[in-house]
Parts: sequence; C-alpha cells; structure tokens
Amino acid sequence: MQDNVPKEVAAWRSQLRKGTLELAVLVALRKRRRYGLELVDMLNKAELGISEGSIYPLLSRLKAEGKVETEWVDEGVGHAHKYYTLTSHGRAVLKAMLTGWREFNAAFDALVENN
Amino acid sequence: MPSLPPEAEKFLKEVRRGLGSLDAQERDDVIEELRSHFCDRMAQGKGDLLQGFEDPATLAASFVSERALRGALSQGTPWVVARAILMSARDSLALLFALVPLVLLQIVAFFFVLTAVLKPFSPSEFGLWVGNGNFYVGRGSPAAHEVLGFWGIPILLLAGVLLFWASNRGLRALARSRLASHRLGRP
Repeated sequence: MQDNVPKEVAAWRSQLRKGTLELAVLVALRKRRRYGLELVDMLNKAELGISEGSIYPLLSRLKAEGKVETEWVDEGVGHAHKYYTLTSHGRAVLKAMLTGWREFNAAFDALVENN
Repeated sequence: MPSLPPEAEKFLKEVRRGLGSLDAQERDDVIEELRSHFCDRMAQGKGDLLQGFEDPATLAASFVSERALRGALSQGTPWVVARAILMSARDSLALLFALVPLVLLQIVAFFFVLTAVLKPFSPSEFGLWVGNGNFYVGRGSPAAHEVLGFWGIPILLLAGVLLFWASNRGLRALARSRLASHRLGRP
C-alpha cells in the first residue's frame, strides 16, 4: 500500500497540471504573443510540464473559442512561426479565471490553517 | 525551410491523413505549425524529434474530435452526436458500453413509432405481441397474439417519443462529458 503513495500523488499532480493548463497558457500570453514551442518550453521550465504534442490541440481549441488569435510571422530563421495573441475575450476570461484561482487558493489555505 | 528526417515527414503525413475531416486550410495550418516546431527542435540539436508526441492518429483525433463534439452539440441530430462521441471514444471502451445501449434505444424508439404509424393501415399485422412467454413490438406472427388493439397507436407513439427523448438526452450528456474531459486534456 505504502509503495503506492508516490505513484498516486504523481497522478494527482498530473491532474492538477491538466486542470490549470489553460490558465497557465493564458497567463503566458498575457504580456506578449508567443508560439507553441515557446509555450511548451516556458511551461516545462516553470515545472507545469506538458508533453510536446499536447499544446497544439489545446491552442487550437482556445482559438476556436475566440480566446486567442493567430498570425504567421517570418523572422528570417528559415521557417515561419505561428504566433498566438490574447483577444479581448481571452483577456476577460483570463482575468476571471485568475480571480477564481486566487479565491480558491485563499479558501484552501484557510481550510488548512484551521485544521 | 530545412528538410526534416524521414520519420518526422512520415509522422506529419499520418497526422494529415487523420485530419481528413477538417477543411484544407485548417489542415495545412496544423501541419505547418508542427513542421515549424520540428524545424526549431532540429536546429536546437534535439535527436528524436518525435519524443513527447503521441502516435499521429491520436494527435490528429484530438484536433478533430474536439471540433466534431462542439459542432454536434451546437447543431447535431442524435446520429451526428453519436458519431462524434464514437470518434472521441477511440481510447475508451467504457464509454462505448454507455453509447451502444443509447443507440439501441434510439432504434427501439424508431420501431415503436413505425409500428404505431403502420397500425392504421394494417391493424391485424402490427402491434404489441405476446406469445411463448415473450413480447415484442412490430409485425405479428401466428405464435403470438396482439394485446393493445387501437390503443397501441397512442401508446406506442408516446412510448417511442419518450424513449427517443430520453436516449437523446443521454447521448448529449455523454457528448458533454467527453468535451469536459477534452478540456482537461489527455494523460
């Protein structure tokens, strides 16, 4: 039973990461436009890891939902990059999600504090 | 643009095949984006470009089924919803066990309504039949006798519509739960 603890916690942490991935991507786009690989590297560096391939379906969904828009930019490296920018709708969603996130954190901290 | 190693080209080709139901421009856009990703990684000197990628069919499906579920929920007939769920359920047998009975219920509902509609034209042939310890709806056989008479028309119509409505709600709930699990991403 005890041997399972690290495994169970790893699975739980992976669920946590997945649940907050959309928020993490929106935050990463807050100050400037970025392309997919930049986002993967950023999130992995922040230890909010995501596998290489799974960022792209997520970005495609965010675009379909009108939260980001895209443009192809040729920066003279031999191939173009597809950049993602927050739309005003995306920005509004980000703001509301961040509020929700902070409220959740505060409530959770209070629970831990009092028990 | 630098040329990619053959295994990466093969990967892109297979993803493209899986994206068949998207329109051509969207498909190109996805493929070019992945190509750009591989070019960057290659320039960084990464050895195995495909490391960290799922198999191409699964990757393509996560682009396509997302859209299909969304489209089906916004405008779909039950069959379109069922098909979209099926496409997204490649990885989930448990889901199929929920899907199959719901689709069967739709078929049963259809036969209830069909029997009710045909009854006035040939009252002795269609109805609810009991015989040999069995009962069924539809066309009779000599071994069974019909029990509802003309009451069968409103009863079967109502039962058919109710079944259809209930299974339709079930299908939509299933599609929504798939959409939610997409939102959380795959393991």
